[in-house]
Amino acid sequence: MRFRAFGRRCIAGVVVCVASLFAGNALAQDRPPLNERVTPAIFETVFPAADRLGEVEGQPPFMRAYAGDEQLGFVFSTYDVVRAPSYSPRPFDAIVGMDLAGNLTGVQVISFHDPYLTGFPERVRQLAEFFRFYVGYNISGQRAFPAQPDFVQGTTISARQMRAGVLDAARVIDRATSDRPPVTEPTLDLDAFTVMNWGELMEMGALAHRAVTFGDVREALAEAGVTPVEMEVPLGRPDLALNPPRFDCRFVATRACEIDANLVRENDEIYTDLYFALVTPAMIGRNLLGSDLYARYLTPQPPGTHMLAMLSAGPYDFRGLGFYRDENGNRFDRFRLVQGETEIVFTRDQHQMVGGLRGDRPRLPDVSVFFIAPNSGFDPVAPFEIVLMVTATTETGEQATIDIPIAYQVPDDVILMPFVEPAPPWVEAWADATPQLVILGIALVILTGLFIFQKQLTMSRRAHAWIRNAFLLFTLVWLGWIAGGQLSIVHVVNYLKAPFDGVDIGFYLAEPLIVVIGIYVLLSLILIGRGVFCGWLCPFGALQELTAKVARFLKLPTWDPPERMQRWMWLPKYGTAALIVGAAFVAPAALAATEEIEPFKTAITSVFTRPWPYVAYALVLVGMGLFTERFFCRFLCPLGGVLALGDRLHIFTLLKRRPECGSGGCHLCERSCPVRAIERDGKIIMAECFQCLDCQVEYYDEQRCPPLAKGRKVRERASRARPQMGVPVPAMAMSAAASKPAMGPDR
Amino acid sequence: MTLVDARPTPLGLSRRQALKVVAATAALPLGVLGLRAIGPTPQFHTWNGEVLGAVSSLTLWHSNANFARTTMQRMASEIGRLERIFSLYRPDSELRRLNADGMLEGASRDLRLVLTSARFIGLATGGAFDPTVQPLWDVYARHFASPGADPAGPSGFALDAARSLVGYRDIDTDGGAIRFARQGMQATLNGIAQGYITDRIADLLRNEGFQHVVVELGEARVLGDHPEGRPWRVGLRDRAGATDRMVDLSNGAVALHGGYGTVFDESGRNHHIFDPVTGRSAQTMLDVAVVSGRATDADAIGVGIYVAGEERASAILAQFPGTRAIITRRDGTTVTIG
Ligand code: SF4
Ligand code: SF4
Repeated sequence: MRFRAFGRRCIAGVVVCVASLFAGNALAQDRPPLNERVTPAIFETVFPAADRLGEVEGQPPFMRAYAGDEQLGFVFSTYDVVRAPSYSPRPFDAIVGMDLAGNLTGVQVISFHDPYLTGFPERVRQLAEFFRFYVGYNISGQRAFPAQPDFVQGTTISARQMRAGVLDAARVIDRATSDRPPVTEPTLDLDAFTVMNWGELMEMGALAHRAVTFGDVREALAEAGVTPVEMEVPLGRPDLALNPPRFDCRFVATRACEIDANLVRENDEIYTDLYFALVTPAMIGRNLLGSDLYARYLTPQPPGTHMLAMLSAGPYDFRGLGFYRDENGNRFDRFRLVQGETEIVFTRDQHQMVGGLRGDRPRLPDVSVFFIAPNSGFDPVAPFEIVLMVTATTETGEQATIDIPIAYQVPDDVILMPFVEPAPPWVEAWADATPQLVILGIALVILTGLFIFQKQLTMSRRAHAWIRNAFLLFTLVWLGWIAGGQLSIVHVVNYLKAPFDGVDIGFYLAEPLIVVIGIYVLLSLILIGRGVFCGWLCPFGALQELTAKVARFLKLPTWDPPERMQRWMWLPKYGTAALIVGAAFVAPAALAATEEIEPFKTAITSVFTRPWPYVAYALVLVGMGLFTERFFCRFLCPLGGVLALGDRLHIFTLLKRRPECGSGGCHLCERSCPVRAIERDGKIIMAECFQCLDCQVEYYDEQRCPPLAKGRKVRERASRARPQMGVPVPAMAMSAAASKPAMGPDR
Repeated sequence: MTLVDARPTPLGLSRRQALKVVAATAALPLGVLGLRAIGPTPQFHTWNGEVLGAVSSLTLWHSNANFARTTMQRMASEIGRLERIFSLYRPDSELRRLNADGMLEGASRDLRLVLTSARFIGLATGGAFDPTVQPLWDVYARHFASPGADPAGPSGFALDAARSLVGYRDIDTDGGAIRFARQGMQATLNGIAQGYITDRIADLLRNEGFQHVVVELGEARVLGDHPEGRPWRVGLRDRAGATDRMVDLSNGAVALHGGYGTVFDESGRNHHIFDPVTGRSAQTMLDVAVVSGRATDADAIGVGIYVAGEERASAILAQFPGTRAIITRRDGTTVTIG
């Protein structure tokens, strides 16, 4: 198709030439004409494979590079094409070679005005070295830039600017000289070509191969339940042992003996050794058939025709004799092409016999090319199968055919993919974070499960304590210290400011863990309240709680404000939140300082590695938490304040109460609440509740919750009275209460 | 089993209790020391890329590699957005569209901010800094691109025409749209746009709590000190490309302007810093390094001082508290002002 393409190129060239009459003159005088600048030495450097150059043509100007009569690519100058500046406003000039497939073949910078290059021969040498790495680089930009050596400072900027100029120029030339429209979907690359031998074609996957042995055919026939009586290539006998040669043959080789011996076909003997390939792409076709045959076969075909080359050795060649028979419709009956719903059986007029092909390849005497018509529904870039067919006549005189399918997919190297903009940074961030997202996902599923099976969890004091401590440890160590997933007031500020900032969504999306936690927190805030985050997912909260648990274990004294005082003490956290959000809008310069109210950066994200004043502040807060549970959370935390405000929206309250709670005269839960979120009247202040579920453990404790205990005693008395109707006492509750008798009052 | 609240109050601490409190309080700092010993140690994390055609990097000092990497990916995202506004390489950038059409509806806040600071610094430098000198640039580039160009520079006639298109006061940024008062006016935000991107990223990083940061996105700005506790040392490149001169910098930006940065001809007399009044390349000094809190200011003030000359430098610097300039005179002597 390349030949037709030239025709079209010429027509396009006329239009361009007319344009160049106007544009050309102004530029022509700036620098010597292109063919003078490209000296033989430079030509050799930028296009080693070519041996001669064509005339300067086109606007912007370029020259075609040939090896013999065959065009290999183009040579042009960046100055003529894009006049790109480098580290100087005066454009540099580089001569560039590019092959037909858009791979750079060489770059030589011939003039520049960069202050950091002029007079530094060492740097100039490095610049040449820099571009050597771009030989073979495809200008489509689908591959990353090649790895480069490190650079002396000063040339790097120039080199990269020049690289941009070279690639821009090459793209312009590529577009101007190519008639292929930019592909919008995967398309077969018909024109790209580099010399490849048989081995390289095999490695690339350009050829499908299947060696079918006599044994395979026997097996397939047996499987299909066919006993062949007659076949085009008879199977003969598997080996000599079954039918030893006649006695006299051991001494004289008569003709009868020869026939007899020929009938022996061992199981691993080749029935047919078949290779085939889609040869429409020049990369495969020209390498397999040679340039002459490739062009001779393809050129007369209507555009859109595809060529399939079949090659085989062995007695059962792919052609057979069927195509000689008119009554058979001149069809080839030994194979067909299958692609999804489409089945193609080739006929004699779609066939081209090819003489033997030479070269370093297996001996394959039978070679043919088959033409696939443009309207056949065949999709060259989709996988297809060649189904080898072996027909046998059975004892009853019927024809039975067995199918041996062989799969094929044209290799990616000859498929042009549409240009894709490089993925934005956040996509990379999500890919990087996949393992972390999996861990977080599992943790969130578990957490959700805990809230769904809250009752079952809190019925067992011991299970609740273990699970809760383990989860907090996970939150602190993994989520906080390792993954750096501490949600913070900084995020709230960022999200609030987003509409005014113009920052685009990618900025937020680039933090996968925070995005996921943020969404989870928002949902849980609306459904249950702020406690899901503060009680379970905040690493700094977990740090305070875990250290406080140690303090309780060591029986350190505790202090909590009285109820009325506490109501006042709850307020400053709203103040700190307002201060930070206010600063974000009114005094952005002070924002960073106000955000230091939050010790998260110190204690969590940087694991106490900041300077001592910050560490000391964080420690004071953790220290207060030893004596007053979650001191910072309850009274100061700006994020807690924002969440507590949002808590007003929550829909469900899962925490159970009894009429006896508080005003009913019992204060057990109230005292069990580590953060004193239950007031004397028994009401839970949800904005201050951390969903730790300690109160629910009391709620279900048959030993300690007075209404439950009363019921239990009644039942026990009843069962003592009538032991035969014994009501089982929940063993778990008994043992838990027995093993930790001091837990409740100690709080 | 009793339900009596048995918690002691701090005032009624027994001797034993008091000892425990002291011990626990002392244990916390020890715990932190332990954590610092076994936990991650902070180190530099670097991002490299190209911003507005300049080699750029971002260097953060942090102990959590995950956090540093995520942060840099977020910053890369933001840099990408700003590039789509200021790039001269992308035909669809806001700046290209503004220069092509002479006006831009619905300009981004960022472009308006940059033009506003440009205008402000234009005023403060008495017009020595002017973002609308792009037409002069074009005249020079065209003049020296032709063979046998007069080494003295473009003719007065050509310059006059271009000079009539220069004037920072004629950029109208009121309302959402940006407008040039005269047809053919063009803005070059080279330098100041890089400065803006540098500042923007530095500010974001400071809000994220990073304390030791070097932002080099076309302009250089640092946050805090070097983790070793000394100021960052910034090398200033001289005419020959050597970096023997050092400036100490903490929490600030430095911008260097010299007529040798981008030159049009071999003599180096014609370069990219134009005096908007004469239309010629300024020849007041060899170079000037301006140290300022913000990269945007450092860049534009530097251009202003280079054009205005040493005499007017202190008057200009006086309007920007915390700013100083290191001027290298044409005779090679150095003076620090401000
Ligand atoms: S109040 Fe603040 S520190 Fe406490 S758990 Fe909630 S967000 Fe974390
Ligand atoms: S004890 Fe109950 S009320 Fe108190 S924080 Fe825990 S769940 Fe909330």
